[in-house]
Amino acid sequence: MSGGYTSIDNQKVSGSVPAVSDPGRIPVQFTDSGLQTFPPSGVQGKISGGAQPPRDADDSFSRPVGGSPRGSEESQGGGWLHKFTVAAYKPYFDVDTSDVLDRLKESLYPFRGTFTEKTATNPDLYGPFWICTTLIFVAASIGTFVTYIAHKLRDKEWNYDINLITWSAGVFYGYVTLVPLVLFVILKYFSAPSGLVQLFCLYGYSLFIFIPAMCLSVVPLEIFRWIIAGVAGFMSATFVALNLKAHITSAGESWFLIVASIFLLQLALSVVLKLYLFTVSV
Amino acid sequence: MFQSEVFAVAFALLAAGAVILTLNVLLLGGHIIFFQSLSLLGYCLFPLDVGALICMMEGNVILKMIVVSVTLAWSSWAAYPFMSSAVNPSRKALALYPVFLMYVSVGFLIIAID
Repeated sequence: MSGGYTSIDNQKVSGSVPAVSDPGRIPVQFTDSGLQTFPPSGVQGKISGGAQPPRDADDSFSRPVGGSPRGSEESQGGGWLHKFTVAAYKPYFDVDTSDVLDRLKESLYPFRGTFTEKTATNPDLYGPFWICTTLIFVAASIGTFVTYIAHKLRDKEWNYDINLITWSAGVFYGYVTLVPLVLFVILKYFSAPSGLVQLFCLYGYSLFIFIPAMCLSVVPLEIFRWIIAGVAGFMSATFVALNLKAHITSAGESWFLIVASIFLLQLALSVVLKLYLFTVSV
Repeated sequence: MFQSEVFAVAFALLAAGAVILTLNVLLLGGHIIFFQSLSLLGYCLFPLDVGALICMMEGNVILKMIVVSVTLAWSSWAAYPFMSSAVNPSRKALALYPVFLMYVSVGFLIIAID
């Protein structure tokens, strides 16, 4: 058995195909996607190294240095189970504190559109997961606090609603998991370059703006809450839409449709949050 | 009915939280032993237990908040040396923030549940 199976950090493929052009392909950007398994659709195909088997565009995005366990090698059984080890996901957590803070700040400026370029070579899953978890906590606690204040002001009985936690957990984790997955499938269908982990990263960081927005929504003015929800939803949706747009214009005429529906979906999330968490009926 | 839901949430939060925190450190490239970390995070919860007992006998929300804040700071201070030495110094905050988040949510549960 090759050493690559037993040692955690050894991701090199011990193998069959001399991956000569691999190092040259590591810092790959979205628009540079060359090899695809779909019929040509207008994307420039750069076939570098004729001896290399065709690879999906997403593979070069979501796994750095040729470490994908493919069925053609001796670690075929290990390849499937390998996904369940911690080591399989380490490359996605290879960020420092300064990187994460940088990306958080970047998410607050929706009109720059440079987020995906910055994270193309090193998408992380730390940000999305912990932003979601923080959001769940903030949503549950602020929602509870809001109903508490509303009940106390009218001197009514108040009981802790445990469903807030489970509901907001379902919404946030579900949204950040399912929407990028569906988007990934759609983009594959249109042969546009995309990477699953980049999409998770993009969506995760786009939710960061909701944290300060929810903190501000404590103010008991209905119109103020709607304004906050609108502004935060708009900023978040623009962030996702602009960052996505620059990379999928090669998808054909339907790119606008995709971007517009992404935008509306994010806005809808913001409205749903506002309605469920901050509309109090005493 | 209501009590069992609260118990379920508290238990799930602590059990899953300890595992996720440990995995978080491992994924960030830190060096800790899985079960050592689980046991340490459990023991560091003790000050919050004391806080919860005190809050059980109190009724005043303001006092509860003060007690919970003090015990929360104590718990975080107890877990800090272990967690920060387990990872690369440039990723210290990334490993510590989730610990703090978990203890804050436990503290919140203490205050919110009557």
